[in-house]
Amino acid sequence: MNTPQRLFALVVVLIGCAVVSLMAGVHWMSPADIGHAFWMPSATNVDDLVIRTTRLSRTVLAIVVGASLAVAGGILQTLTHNPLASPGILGINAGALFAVVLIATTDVLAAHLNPYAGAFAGAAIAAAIVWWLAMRRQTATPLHLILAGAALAALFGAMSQALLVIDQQGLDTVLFWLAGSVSGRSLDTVWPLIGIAVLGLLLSAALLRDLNLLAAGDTIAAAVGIRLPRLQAMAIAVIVLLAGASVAMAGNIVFIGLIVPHIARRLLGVDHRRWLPGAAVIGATLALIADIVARLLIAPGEVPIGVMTALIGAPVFIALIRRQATAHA
Amino acid sequence: MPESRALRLGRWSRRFSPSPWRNALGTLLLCSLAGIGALMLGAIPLSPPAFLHALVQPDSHAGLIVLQLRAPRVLLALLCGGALAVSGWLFQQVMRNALASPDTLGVTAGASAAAVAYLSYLAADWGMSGLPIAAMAGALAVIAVVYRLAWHRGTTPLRLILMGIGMAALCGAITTFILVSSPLSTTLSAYVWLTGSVYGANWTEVGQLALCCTGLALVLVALLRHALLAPLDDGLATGLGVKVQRTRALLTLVASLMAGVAIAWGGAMAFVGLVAPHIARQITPSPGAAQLITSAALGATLVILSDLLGRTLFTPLDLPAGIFVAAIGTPFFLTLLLRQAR
Repeated sequence: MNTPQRLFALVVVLIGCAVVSLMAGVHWMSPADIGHAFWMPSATNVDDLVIRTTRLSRTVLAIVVGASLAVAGGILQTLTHNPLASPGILGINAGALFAVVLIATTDVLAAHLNPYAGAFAGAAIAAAIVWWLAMRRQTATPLHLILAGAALAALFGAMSQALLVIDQQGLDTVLFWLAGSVSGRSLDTVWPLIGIAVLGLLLSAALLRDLNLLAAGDTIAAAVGIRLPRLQAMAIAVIVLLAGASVAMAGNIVFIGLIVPHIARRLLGVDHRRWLPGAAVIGATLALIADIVARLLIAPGEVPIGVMTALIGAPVFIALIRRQATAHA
Repeated sequence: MPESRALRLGRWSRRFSPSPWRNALGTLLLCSLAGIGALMLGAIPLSPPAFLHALVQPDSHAGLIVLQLRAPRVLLALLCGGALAVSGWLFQQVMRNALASPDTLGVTAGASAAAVAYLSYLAADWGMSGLPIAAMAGALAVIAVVYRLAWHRGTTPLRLILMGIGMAALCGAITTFILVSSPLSTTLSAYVWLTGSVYGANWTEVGQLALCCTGLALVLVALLRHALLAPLDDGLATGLGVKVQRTRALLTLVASLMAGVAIAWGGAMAFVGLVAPHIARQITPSPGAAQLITSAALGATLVILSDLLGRTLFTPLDLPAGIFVAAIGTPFFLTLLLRQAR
């Protein structure tokens, strides 16, 4: 298969997963039920209601969040020239989470601020710190960046935890969301966030050609006429939009931003115009699969999707490092 | 090179530079001041004469408060902070990286996962006394897995750190899952534990932890020479006659055990292991025993002060010390990170 065909195949798989996601759950639906729910919905049919409210919203959310995180991770990896960079590892997600928890647990702030806006502010602050570190690569080694990010993530995590210990009522409401979850959110309330995520994805599409040049190295990119600081600032802005929106929608979902770009590059080659859209599709598929497994594994209970992605992603991450170790030995 | 003097005693002689030791002594003094302050302050503050009176009369009302309530707590904080700082210092030496710490290498996360699993599934039947053992087992299990995964004809610090980050994320997911799936009352106690608290410490716990720490400290004294050589390049160290892989494994084990015991009795206090050695390096740049002592004293001071703030700042609430460790450590760590980048 050549690359466009592969991309097409990936999209087909994504659509298949989306249909399965609409069908799967404690109560399985047939494809006919889904057709019925979409084209001839009746207000009294329970199946129709289940599909049109809970199943549809979590499917859409999983697709948007998976795609956003994967693209954010991909851009971050190109931007920092670091294959292990991702919004999760570098603490950008943790920063957004912390800001949301801060607003949710502090009455004064909760009265004036929307927690979702906080997610963007938190992501922006964390991204700014990461940027500051990454753009001074003559002193900071790639490992230094990763470690600094890991420490940053641990730090924001500790602060969130501290806030939740003080405000124990808040704990119960945000706990499941802290673990990462796409369930129980109606599309009516999250559509602005979906809009922002889609905006971020569209903006990233505009950066693809420049990212290709950036991947060749900062010096080369500057030499062929890319305005480096502007491109970096725009890329960071896109990452903040994508990561902030994902965290606001679905909480802490780890590892998608890290591993999906690697899978995409392996399947689709190194041209950003091919693999970054591919990463969006694969990320969405992975999030959908994780969500489907999450709701079937201990049905009628539910595993948070963030736990599922960690269980899938951590072994891949470890394999990735082991492979690199063998390659260098 | 700092000023140095020679110590001679018959045939035995040592060169030694006094300024790091002066710093170490200074931080130890700071630590004891913080400890005495923590003994005197609290819901019922004691004046210096009343405090001395309480010390000589253990059966009086004030004596009970100081010796039975505050002293174990302060000592537990001291031991936990000191052990975490020593563990962080060791990890930073072995991994040759100033950002390595029990937190970034997954030791804390492993201990947390094990402890939370114990609290949720076993504590009802077996009681709370098994919690430290569970936490320690978790810490050791994770560092063993990290070591095994990073092993490829020997290990390198780089691979150890990366595996540690991966395992930390995995353990974090397990912890979250257990927290989400267990009832809220368990979740709350687990959360307090995860934040790190020396609340309700008693002399038995202090005794157990002190025993562990003393044992490990003795091992560390024997290994200190190797810890100081660990930052050298593998080839150079081999040339000097160091058995690189064996030393690295041994030092990693000691550092993990140090962190393990501290976490087992004091909970997952983040950042002591990262921040304290950093400050110690700023004060005393030359690596050595003095730097190690400085860092241990600073770690202990940090936790003692955090606990003091936790129980006095928002009375009648008694907040976990870990909150203030994070609150004090965070701004400090951020400035450090940004200044280093420049």
